[in-house]
Amino acid sequence: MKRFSEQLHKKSESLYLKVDEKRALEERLVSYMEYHPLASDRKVKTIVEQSWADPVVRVINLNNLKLWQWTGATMAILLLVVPYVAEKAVPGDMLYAVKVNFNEEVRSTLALSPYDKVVWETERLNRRIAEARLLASEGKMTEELGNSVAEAVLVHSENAKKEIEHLKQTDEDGAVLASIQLDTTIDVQSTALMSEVQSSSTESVMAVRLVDVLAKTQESDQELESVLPSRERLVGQVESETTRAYELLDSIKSYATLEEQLDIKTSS
Amino acid sequence: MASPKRTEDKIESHEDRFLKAFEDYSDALFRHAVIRVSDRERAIDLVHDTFTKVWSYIRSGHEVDSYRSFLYKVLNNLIIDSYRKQREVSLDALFEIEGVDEGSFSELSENSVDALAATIDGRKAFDLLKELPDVYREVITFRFIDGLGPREISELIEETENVVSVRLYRGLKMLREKMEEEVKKAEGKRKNKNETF
Repeated sequence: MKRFSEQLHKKSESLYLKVDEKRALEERLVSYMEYHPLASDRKVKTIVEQSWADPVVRVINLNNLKLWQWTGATMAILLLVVPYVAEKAVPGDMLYAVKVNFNEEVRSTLALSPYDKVVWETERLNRRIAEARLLASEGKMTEELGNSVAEAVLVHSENAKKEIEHLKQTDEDGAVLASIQLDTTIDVQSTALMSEVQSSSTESVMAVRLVDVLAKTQESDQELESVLPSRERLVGQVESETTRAYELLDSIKSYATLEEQLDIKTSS
Repeated sequence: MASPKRTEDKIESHEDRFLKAFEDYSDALFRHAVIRVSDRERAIDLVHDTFTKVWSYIRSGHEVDSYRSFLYKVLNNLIIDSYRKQREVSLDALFEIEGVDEGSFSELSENSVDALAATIDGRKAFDLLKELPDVYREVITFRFIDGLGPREISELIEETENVVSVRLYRGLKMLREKMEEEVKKAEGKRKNKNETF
């Protein structure tokens, strides 16, 4: 059918208005239009949609494209670059809120099991104390910052204890191990802070405050103290912690001096 | 992202649109009219009358969404009117003679129409179009020269798609029969020539 249609169509193209015929026809038509003009209210212009081929339309769409590109770049900065930079923030910095309320909260959601949550809350507790030490060493510690650090330490230890309570319902061994981990962290931090207090440095005011806070958090769970985890579980935990310690030691070999490495080995 | 069809609007007057339609469709309308009435001068007048009628329609306050289909409809009606004036036999009577009905199943099928069209040489068929009755010439011109679909044709001539398909089939069949007659005539003439010599 296509062939028949094409042949017929091609043959019919020999029939067309000659130039003078078309011009005459147009003139007749325009005369008719002039003699029979549109009513004034019909002279209202109609709106016709422009096509994509129009250069103005293309410019507008290119601007939209650029807008999307800028939006994408801004989102990438907000979601990737800012959190990365915020990791180094300390209390009082502009990005500290991003570190605590965004980065750390996202990592909280990634901790799926109660045991992982306890580990993470313990880690957050360590971070707060480390930040407080850094600020104190740089002489930037204020009363307000001190209060916020102390409050954060209290919150994280309370959160850890809550998760341990949850863990007790389903995994008593896990709860015991988590409790041991929390208590160990608090002990280590308390010991380190006590040594600062004894050195009687100007940083010791903050250290005393934190020791008090840690002492409050160290309410012993009588029930858990009397329970030991199963041997297999304990050995497994020791193995994984030891492996992690050796991995961390390997990772610092490239930039830690021999003395520092020896110091770490002997203290562990 | 914004649609590529509508990002900015352009204002165009009724006159501009109308004259643009003349520019775009006057040749195609003329071609259709010549094939239908076989008279160049009459075809030009019919095209002129078509556009003036459409202009009057716009003047009366109506809007034309698609100029192409509307122009073809007006032209078709004018051609039918001109036939009515010329011939005393009405088209209804023609239909009675022809006995246009829903047709057999084979005539209704679009595939049948396509298959039949494939057997015909379009170049020779074009010269024989004027010998067909207008009811067949009309639909064949709309379909194969103007490129309209069966539904568009049915809306134009205000008949069902079935009727359009039947007329297309019968028109093409008639064309083929005429072409075969032409071939036989030519062969007969050649034989007579040979016998003479």
